[in-house]
Amino acid sequence: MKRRDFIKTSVGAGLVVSAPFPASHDPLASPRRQEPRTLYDKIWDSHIVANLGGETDLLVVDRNIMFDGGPATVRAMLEDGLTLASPQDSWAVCDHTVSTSPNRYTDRSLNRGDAAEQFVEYAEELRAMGIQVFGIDDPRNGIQHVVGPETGLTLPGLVVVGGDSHTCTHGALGCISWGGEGGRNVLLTGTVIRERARRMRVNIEGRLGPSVRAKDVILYIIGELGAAAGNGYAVEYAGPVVRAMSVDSRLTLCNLAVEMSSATGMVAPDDTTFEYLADREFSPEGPYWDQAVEHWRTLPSDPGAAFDRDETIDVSGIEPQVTWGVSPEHVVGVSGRVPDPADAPPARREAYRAALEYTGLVPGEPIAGTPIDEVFIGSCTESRIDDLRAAAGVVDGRRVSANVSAWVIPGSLPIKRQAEAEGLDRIFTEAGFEWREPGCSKCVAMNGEHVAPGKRCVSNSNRNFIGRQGRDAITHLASTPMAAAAAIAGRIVDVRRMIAGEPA
Amino acid sequence: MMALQSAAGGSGPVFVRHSGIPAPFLRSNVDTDIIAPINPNSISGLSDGERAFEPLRYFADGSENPDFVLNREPYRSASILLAGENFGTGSSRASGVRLPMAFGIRVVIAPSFGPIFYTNSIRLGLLAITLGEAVVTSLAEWAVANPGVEMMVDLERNVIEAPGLAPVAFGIDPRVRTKFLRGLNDLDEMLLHSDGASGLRNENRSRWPWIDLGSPGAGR
Repeated sequence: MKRRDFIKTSVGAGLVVSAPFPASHDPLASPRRQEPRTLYDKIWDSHIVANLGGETDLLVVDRNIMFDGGPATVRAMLEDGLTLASPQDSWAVCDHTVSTSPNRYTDRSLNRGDAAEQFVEYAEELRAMGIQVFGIDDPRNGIQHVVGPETGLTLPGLVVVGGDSHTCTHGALGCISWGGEGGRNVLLTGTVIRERARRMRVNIEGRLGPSVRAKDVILYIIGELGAAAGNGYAVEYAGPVVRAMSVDSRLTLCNLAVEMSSATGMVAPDDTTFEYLADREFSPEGPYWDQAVEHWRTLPSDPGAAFDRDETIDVSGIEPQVTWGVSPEHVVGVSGRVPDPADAPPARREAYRAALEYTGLVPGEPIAGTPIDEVFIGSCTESRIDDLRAAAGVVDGRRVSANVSAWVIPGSLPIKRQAEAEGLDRIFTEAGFEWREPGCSKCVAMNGEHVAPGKRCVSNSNRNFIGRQGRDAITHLASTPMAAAAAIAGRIVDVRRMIAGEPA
Repeated sequence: MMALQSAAGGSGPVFVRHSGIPAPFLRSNVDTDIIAPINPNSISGLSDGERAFEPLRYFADGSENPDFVLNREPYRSASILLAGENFGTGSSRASGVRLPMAFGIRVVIAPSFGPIFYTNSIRLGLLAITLGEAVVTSLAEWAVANPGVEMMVDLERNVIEAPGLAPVAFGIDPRVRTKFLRGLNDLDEMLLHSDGASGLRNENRSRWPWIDLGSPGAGR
């Protein structure tokens, strides 16, 4: 590692530090600039301000996503007399603490804490600085990882950061994105310090069976490779199955990258991406559109680009997946059985035992047939129009089981309007689902909405951790159609059998 | 040791070495909803340190789970956590680091960490050391065999020492090591490059003008 001698440098309010920071170097001199390069490296290289030693670089940020606490953070910084580096690169949406009740617009006390009101109170000041602000009264409001792609605020080739861990979702459009970035430093400098990840490619091959979706694919991959498989890597999902997927499905794949411990998931941009982005509010316009597409076509990994880890997963014949434990790797096909910890690999045995103690399932029993109390359809994982259409297709003409409380939460107000224009809302409400307003809701249970203690929920979201959906709540992750089918049957069932009219 | 004032050049706390009681907690995939749950349980008035690992520490009636390692002596005063694979997986919440620190944990040693937990640890001053699974297991076995005996983590010499234990060397990103040894914070380092940052930002925006939301080609 090259290292600069300690130099006296004046930073901040007259604070003098002796800074042993390593020397910057010219990124053009890096061997990584040589072709062939990966999608990840191409974007990374074009954003390096300085190398900070080893694999750690200072990167310039293109989009900084803030959520509920964002406006208050900006306000506090302004009150401290601080100057923001490039406020027009930041945008904010209120999603974690807001109520999803249809009454939230009139009874503002339903929203937890002050965030929803701060989005109103500070909006003018933030917008004057160029920050896009989407409070619940804005027709573009929704879950941040739904709003970014669907407004075109997320574009291929960008570096996108945010506080929320599911910021990895945006990589589905061909950008580098990750969560866990503290807002203040990004706002002050327009940069982030980041260690370049190793590169992992997951080639998804084969042919998906009916009612097997992106959610099943990614749960299956996590089950095969383990919840820690992506640790230290940026994962690029590739192969024919990914190429054939809609952007909505690719967003689901990348959403769960962090559940395989990769902070960054990506899909190379292609015609599907460009068609999705055309005419979005913040997408390039006029002559810039053609220039942008021309640039975006240069981004996919070059043939022969080296990956530190290359996995090929054949998904032909996989079933709809359901989790049985408290990690997304605790997953089986819907006709599978709850595993016996005694048969588990030794390193996993204790975790399996603890998981089953929490979820209350019996080793060796089929996962299908497990009675459930609640169903949650929503979240940044699968609340887009494709997902809602798939769920409505299962629900149409059927009734939610009498002992199940089932919610559908569209990912954004535009999606809600689209679904209503297609009559999906009536399919859900006539079946006995609650049709609610956008927000994170019971996926993270920060807004006062949660799965009741001790109750069992089939959820189309991304985490089945202990207590995630509420104290002592038990979560079974599954796809949106599987969640819809469970609501109707009152137990975990194979959605394919329900659609076929077979006894499930 | 952590609270040494920053005489070493930075504006944050300095970490050179730490001696403390190690607690064995080798469960894999311990996630942020276990470390720092969002939904409080029925017990009110818990301090941050008392809330760390809450779902494992207390039963539903609020009583302590005597089987959980940090509820047992001598590990109630542990400051080094010997953890399992993928420790801290899950969300980006800073409380995932702050709560264990409030409990008194200063060092976590594990075969791997959740990626965001790791970066949060580095930012917030919790030293996260990665060692092979077999090595972490042997440290845990030592901790069980020597309850209450302190272990020393020396960041200056990159070594872990304890009585009767062969010294264990560990590797760590040199930048992270310097940051801890000198109490540096990220912002100091970022501000050094502010000219370069605005230069590259402008360069990228002239090559790809649609990135700039203020430009006429960026939609709206």
